[in-house]
Amino acid sequence: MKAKMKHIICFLLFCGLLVGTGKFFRYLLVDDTASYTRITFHEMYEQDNIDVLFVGSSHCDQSFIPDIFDEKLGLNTFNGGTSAQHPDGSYLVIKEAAKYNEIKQIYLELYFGLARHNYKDRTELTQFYIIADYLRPSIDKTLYLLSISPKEYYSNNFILARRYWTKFFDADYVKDVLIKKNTNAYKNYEYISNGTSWYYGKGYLANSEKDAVRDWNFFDMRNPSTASLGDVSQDWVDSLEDIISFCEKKNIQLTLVSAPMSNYHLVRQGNGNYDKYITTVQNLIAGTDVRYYDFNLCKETYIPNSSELFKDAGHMNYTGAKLFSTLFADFLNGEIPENELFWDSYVEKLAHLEPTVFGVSYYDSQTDNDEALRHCEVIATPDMNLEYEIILSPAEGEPYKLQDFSANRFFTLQPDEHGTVTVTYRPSSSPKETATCNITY
Amino acid sequence: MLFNSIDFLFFFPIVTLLFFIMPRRLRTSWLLIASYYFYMSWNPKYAILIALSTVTTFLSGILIEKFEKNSAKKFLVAASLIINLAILGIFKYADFALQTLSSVSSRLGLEAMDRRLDLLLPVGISFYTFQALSYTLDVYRGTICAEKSIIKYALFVSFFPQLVAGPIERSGNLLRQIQTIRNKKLWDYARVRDGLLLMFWGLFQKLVIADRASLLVNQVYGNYANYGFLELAIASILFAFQIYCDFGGYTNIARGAAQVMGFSLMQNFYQPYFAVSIKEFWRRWHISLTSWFTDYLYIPLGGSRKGLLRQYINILIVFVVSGLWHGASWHFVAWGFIHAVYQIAGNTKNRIMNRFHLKIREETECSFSRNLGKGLVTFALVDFAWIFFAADSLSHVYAILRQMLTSFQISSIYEMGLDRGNWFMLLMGICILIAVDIIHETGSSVFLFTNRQMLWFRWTLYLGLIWCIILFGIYGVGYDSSQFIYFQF
Repeated sequence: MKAKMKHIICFLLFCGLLVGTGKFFRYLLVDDTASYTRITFHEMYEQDNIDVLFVGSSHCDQSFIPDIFDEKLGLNTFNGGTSAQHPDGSYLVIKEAAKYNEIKQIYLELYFGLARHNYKDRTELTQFYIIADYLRPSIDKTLYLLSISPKEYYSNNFILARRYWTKFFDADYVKDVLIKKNTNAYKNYEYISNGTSWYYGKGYLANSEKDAVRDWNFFDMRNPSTASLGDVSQDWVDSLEDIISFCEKKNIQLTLVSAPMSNYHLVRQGNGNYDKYITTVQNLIAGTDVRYYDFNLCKETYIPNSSELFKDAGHMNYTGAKLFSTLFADFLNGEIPENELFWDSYVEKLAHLEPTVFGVSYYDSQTDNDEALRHCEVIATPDMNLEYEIILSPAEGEPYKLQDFSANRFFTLQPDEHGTVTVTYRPSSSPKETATCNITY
Repeated sequence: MLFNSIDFLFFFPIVTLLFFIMPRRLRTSWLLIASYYFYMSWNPKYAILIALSTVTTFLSGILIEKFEKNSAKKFLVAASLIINLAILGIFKYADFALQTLSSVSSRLGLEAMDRRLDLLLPVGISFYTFQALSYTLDVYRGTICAEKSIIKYALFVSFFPQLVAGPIERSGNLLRQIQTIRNKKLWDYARVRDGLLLMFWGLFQKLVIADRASLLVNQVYGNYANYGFLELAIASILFAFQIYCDFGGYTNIARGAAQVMGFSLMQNFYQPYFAVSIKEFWRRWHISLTSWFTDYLYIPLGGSRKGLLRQYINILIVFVVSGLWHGASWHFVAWGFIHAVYQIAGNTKNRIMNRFHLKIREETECSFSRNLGKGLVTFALVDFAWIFFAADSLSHVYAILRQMLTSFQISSIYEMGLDRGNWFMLLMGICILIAVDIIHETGSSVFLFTNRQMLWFRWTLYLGLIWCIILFGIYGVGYDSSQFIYFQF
């Protein structure tokens, strides 16, 4: 019996040493000195009590400023959003926060770009690790790590040092990590700014006003897929239903929110059918107590479609986040009626805009002859019967007209070409009302 | 289910734990179920073949013992051999035979037979077929009594640690242990600890050395035209370590897993690259197969009892069959043939030396330098033969050898599929392997040595080994989970 006890104690001690060695290798090899989620979740555990929790993707952690909500609502709010946080990640954060806090209200930010994602297709896991790596060990966390990826990723999911094993032989890297980790800033969970963003506190990641979109006429790449925004993945639906039933069980009021994005982003990504996504979400929560506020339907008088408020096509900068947080808090306090704040649909919102060209989106392909081709599309207010004249001014060479006024919005370029595309547009019904948009490509 | 897979990480502790807490009378059945589950995880259909092999050899054993007449016994042995070898033949060699026929007929100007069966080769079929056949032959020879319990016998054929890549156990060892399974001591701390240590050492050999070496070997052999003599020679040398650590690693994991549960499997390797002759190499490499062929083929053919010529023919037959056992392809046959030639040449050399009294001076006969020289020559010969083993076909062998002899370009060592960190780990791993083998060669044991040390030393060693496997093993995302090479045989 004595020998058995000795063996059991030895075994447990050995397991402890094994875990301890793992922690040592993690300290040595994992460079998390610039990770803001390390600070976010440290702060989450440090809160006295979180009354209101925001969760969701980067549109959440860069749009909801807890300090403003604290002041306006008189409650302690916390932003648990992280970059590309999928609903299963939000569910984990909610469960973890609910373990230590009496949460009254959860705002789950919904970004349509994550809704079609099938969990089994995951290969890039950074957005999952930035959550799990900094949460305390628990069964929920273990189940999450088992569910986020196929089996061959498990070693990386559970053993952090394994992700960086090649760095073991890089003495400069290890030395640099040790120096950075030995600073007071790291030990005190202070955020090291990358110059354009800084950790504001309570989970909010601010983007400098200086980082406002320099060119509001966008030229950027898109996924060539033309799938309907109404098509959401079953995994996404399942996770959302998990969150809804969890909140019901814990008596937490759940509200779904979509943070404001630029019209370019919504028209381009949504292929003009953003309303289908809204309808899908509304159908999903029909018959529950869950409410849904989509600030992309917000009237321009409250949140204008302006470069001053955004850091890129999809994310607000600090100025935008201040405006949005104040507006949302005022709305929650009943200072602004719902029907005054929102349009009924995105189509209705666009219909109230002047005809506008927002930018050009593109995707690259190879022809059968291995020739690279850039397929461009003019992104403009839809359903306005616009005609476009397209003139290309290459960086080297004379400008030339690609197309005279026509309803066609598509054209091609060589991927290595650079210059300015000038799109002059007019409603087909009134040819004299022209406007021009210059886009750098 | 590979030993180096996540599935086995869960499978083995669960099976072992339940084996320990289960009532003694259920232990055999439990291990049988676990073994079939283990085997069926590759393909459930495989179970039919192993069950067929089990039933035929089990029944033949019982009937051989029952019949008095020698002719009846012979008939039963022949029937068992034919059925089992037919299964092996159809699944492993049918396409090879058809392909060879097709090739011969087209060379003779006859109509080419372009037919293939394309049957999936069940993993480990050669191993369990040989194990089952050895049982039939042992019962026939009266070496052992026939087993009366089909459950015990089925477990002997399908015991999961050694099912798919050996060691090819004899009924005198494994079956006897299964028969006494009820009397086994349930928990023995030292035994379990040593078994686990052996498993970790096997995993180190497989994941840190073999699979890392395979990155280089596959890169260089797969793109031989881009490399010169030096790179191809390095790849060939590393293949010797790859196959040793792959197969030796598997064997150690198998032996360790069996040891944890209280079973002792035979040793399959005995520092093979320290052999000072080809004959000795075969006494150290894949010992269970060598002894199988010696007992059930070489000796029945007459061995060395029927004259020199007959002995050489017997050696040739055994090694060609051994090559064919490894794979249904001419390059394996050639590999076996080369080893037969080595053996015959070595034998002839010794005869000539003895005949003409060309003895080495007595004082230098067992010297380190002499053994080192002989060892290096033996390694070079074995390594040359490994080229035939590693290649995909005889034409591939020819292309590699031609490239070696005609191209002497030298490129960076980092263009051979391994970066700096991987090179460092590989060489470090090989150094550790050689050090361990040197200790074993001197008659000592690393495991015994470890057990005699202070706790802090032992635990540091264990932790180092485990973390070395976890951090530096070739597994998980970014790497194909490598099958053990011998699984295909």
